[in-house]
Amino acid sequence: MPSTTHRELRIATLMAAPAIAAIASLSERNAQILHTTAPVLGMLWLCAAAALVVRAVQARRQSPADLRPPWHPLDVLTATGTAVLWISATALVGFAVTGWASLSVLGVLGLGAVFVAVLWTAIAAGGDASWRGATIARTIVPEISVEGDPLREQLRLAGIRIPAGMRLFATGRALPFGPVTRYAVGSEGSRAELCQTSELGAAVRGEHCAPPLVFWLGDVLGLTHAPAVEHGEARFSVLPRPAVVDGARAVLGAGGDDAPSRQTQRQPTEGTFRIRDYAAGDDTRRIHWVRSLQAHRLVVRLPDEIPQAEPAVRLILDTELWGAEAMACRAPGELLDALVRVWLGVARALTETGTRVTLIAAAGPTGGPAAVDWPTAPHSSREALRLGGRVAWQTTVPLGALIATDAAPAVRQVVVSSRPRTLVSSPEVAWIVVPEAAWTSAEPALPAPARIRLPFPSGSADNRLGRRRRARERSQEMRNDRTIFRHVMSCTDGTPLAGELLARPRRGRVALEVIP
Amino acid sequence: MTQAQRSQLAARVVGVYWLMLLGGLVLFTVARIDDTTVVVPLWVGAIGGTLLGQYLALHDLRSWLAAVIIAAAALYCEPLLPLGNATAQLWQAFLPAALCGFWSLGDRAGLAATWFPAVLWMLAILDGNDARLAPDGPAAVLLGGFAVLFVWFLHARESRRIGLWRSVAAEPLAPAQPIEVLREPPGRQLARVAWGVSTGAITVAITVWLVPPLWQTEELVGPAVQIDGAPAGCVPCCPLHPTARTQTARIKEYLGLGLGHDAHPTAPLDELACRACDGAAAVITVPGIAADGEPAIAVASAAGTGDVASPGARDLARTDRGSSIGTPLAEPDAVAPATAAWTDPGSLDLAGGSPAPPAVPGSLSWTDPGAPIETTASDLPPISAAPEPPLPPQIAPPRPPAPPPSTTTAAPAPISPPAAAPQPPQPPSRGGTGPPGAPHRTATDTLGTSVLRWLALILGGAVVLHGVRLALRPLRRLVHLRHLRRPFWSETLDQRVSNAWQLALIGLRDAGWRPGATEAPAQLARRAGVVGLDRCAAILERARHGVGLDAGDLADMQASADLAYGAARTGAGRFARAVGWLRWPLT
Repeated sequence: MPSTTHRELRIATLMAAPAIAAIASLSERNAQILHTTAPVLGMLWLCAAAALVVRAVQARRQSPADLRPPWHPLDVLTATGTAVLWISATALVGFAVTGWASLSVLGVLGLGAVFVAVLWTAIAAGGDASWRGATIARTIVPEISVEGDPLREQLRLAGIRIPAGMRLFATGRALPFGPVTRYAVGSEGSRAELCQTSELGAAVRGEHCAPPLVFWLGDVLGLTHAPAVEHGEARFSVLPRPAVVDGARAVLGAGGDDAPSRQTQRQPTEGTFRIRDYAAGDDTRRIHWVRSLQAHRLVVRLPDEIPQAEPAVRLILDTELWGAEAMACRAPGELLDALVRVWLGVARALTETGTRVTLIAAAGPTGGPAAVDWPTAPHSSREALRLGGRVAWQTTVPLGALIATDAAPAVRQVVVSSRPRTLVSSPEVAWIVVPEAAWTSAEPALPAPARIRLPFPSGSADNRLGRRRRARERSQEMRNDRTIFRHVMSCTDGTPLAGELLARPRRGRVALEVIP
Repeated sequence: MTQAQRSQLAARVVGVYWLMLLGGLVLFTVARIDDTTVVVPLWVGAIGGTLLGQYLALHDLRSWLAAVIIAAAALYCEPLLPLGNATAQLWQAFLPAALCGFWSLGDRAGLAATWFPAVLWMLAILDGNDARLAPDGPAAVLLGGFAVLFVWFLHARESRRIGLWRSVAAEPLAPAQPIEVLREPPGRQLARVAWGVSTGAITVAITVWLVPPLWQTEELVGPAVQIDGAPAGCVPCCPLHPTARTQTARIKEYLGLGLGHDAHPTAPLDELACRACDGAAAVITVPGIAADGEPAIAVASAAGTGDVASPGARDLARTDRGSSIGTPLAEPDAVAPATAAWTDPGSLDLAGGSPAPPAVPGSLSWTDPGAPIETTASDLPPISAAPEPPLPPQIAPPRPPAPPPSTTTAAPAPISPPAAAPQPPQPPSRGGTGPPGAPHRTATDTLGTSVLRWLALILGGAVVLHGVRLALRPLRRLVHLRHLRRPFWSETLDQRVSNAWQLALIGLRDAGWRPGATEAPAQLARRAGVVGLDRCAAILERARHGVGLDAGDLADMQASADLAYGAARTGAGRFARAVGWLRWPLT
């Protein structure tokens, strides 16, 4: 969609360029110009202007609450149309100076083409007739996916009226830093049922609400466009993918809470397993047939790995950070995703060792704290994953509010955070530090100044200076925010971290290492 | 974006641009086929410049660098091309051709890029135009043709821009798969064709109607013609009648190669003092009209007495049909001798008004208006010593051809002066007297209607061919449907099941339904909801999965397919059914 930065300039072009051309041409005082060329072009311009004004008034009546300026519907010229209009005016001025007939051809052709295109756009594509009765369905498939899975955007259009000589354009972005989707449909798709699919790439964790796509109609010569409309909001969820964590047992401390259940010494005469009588419901694979024959009753083995008393861990995710959502860089999102992956990975690793894990995060339905027990049964952790998917940076629930002050002494409280800090009036907690530098990628480099060659193929609109400048400003803003974010995350209040755990990526897994 | 994709996107723009460029060059060449000193440099400059400009654009060079390279190429190559006077025309063509070629693949300079092709087209259009400010048949057709090419060029550029828009951006773009049409209303092609024709017609109308009134003429110095007026006596031998240079006019254009039109006399030539020369030969110029309607000048050369012809006479002698202004003219003695001669006593008042033409030296002889005539005046009227002030220019009235003298070897053609009739009021012209080197337009210079006839023939042939193809489509469809229902040759059971499914799909397509790329037959049947289609889909899937089929299944499949075909078409309406007969491919 064309930028609205120079909207007023484009609207002024509709009047200024023809006026300049008229002044240049009519100064000839040629009777034939006054009787043919000027009146016809003037009528064309008047018709086009009148159609635009009528459409603007119509739009204002239909949506009086529209906060955009009243002349917004007059902005129908594309950048190409604006250029054609100015080149036409320049050609006619040049013709008045030099008298070259080819310049008059260029001037009249350009003016005529733009006026006819504006008139046709205002008549055929103005208003909401094109969208009346249309069905626009946008879905991100799969609707619920796991982080890293490939996502597709499916756009189904039905009943959109695309007038002859026009094209339908649509663009949007489903993920905050994801790829941009762009569609173009010719008038052969008018009132048709169409399906378009785009590959969005790897899914990024979160409960996403994709902003609607922007639709507009443009003529096939690229001179004009109709006002844009927005349709097709889509919601989809991407569940986090827990990381595989090595060394999670260190979370439980030296010796581990499951030590009583382990047989550290076994004499040669001692059996390998503890046994008991068979009870209804026991797994028949655990029946100790030799002992059962000796005892003349069914005896089952008991695995040593199951502790007699399961240790409990409250795994708390620290998502308290001010201003992260407003940052333009990708690092806050990447760091939060890493925190969630480590958080869930540690939970799963601890559960596999027999520890009862309760996940705590400020991601409740109303934004408050939420606690979810990580289930011991595999493949039943969807609730925990949903909690992880909802997690976002927040400021409403401080970290201290997530730490239970009345927890049993046997319950360890571990905070997964990037910013370990001293908590006032809170019991002792252990920290798993997820360092920002290790889990975020570098922001894209600033666009290199292309003084010799164009950065994009010749003819691409992204070569325009304005777009290049905006892209550079956007990139610069990302880098500035990244610098701020790095400073914020590396600030420390002097909390001693010796003995705490550091989560570092290692060959696709997470290694928990004790900070010396 | 791969290089192949880039080339594919640019190919159409480059093709249309070259069509415009070569079209202009060919038209100009046809009009000036005999003027190789103009045509060849123009071709070289235009093609070389366009190639260079588009090469630079396709390599994504910035505008300033492209301008530097183009200028450097011109400066470097200029001494290497020993083309003499043509060098200026070559570089006049090369520089704008290179810039316009570069802009043709640029972002927003599409209109500017068409300037150089427009210049070429305008040269041919203006040369082939009989009237000044209102293009007649061929010129109007060419002007309209250029307008259509311009719209086509804009369309091609926009298509390329969209292709780039979908492929290239500062932000990452999601790769999109092709559009899948699941259902379409019939007759959209007709609407698109109608829009295209309407747009073309409007553009042609605007161009042909509104552009010519803007054109400005420039006046050129044309050949000298004889005008009425009292003979001025002078010291050298004086001509019988004062002469005047003519002025032609043409529409101004960047490349000053246009031909002059509508010659008319201007002020008399400033004669030197001359004297009456008894029995001396005088060089007389007599205007005439050639058989083809073009102005012709009859020239007499001075001879016999040895007196030096006046400058005016020399000018007269230099007035030669078909000679190019700006090029060295033939000397008087180089004028070809007359092939037929007769006396015009009415206008020249020779030999005492006697109509008897002296076919001897000293008499006035007329030749074929197309060729110079050598005339010897034996009895010139007295000439005053001092030249009289020049009279207002006036062309001698047309003289009816007198009967040829018995001594003549051939009958002269009727002669009438080219500019004797009063000139219609010309629109005010700007730009005073133009360069004297502009050639005058002659019959052979005009763009021959034969070229347009050939073009019209080719265009008409293409239309007829397309019409025949359209007319044959129903027959082709009939044969195809017949084969799907009852194959012309023996086919396997599975193939006949597939044929029946194709038959149903044709009916669905007539109604606008199209299967998705990954859509199973059963899904299509559910979506379309056409009677009999679900049964077809079930049998087809059995065949696809290798489940055994028998003759009963085949009969059931064929009956269901026929039912679905008919039901789908029935619901589509008459218009869709009619359009369906013209559609190809059928599914």
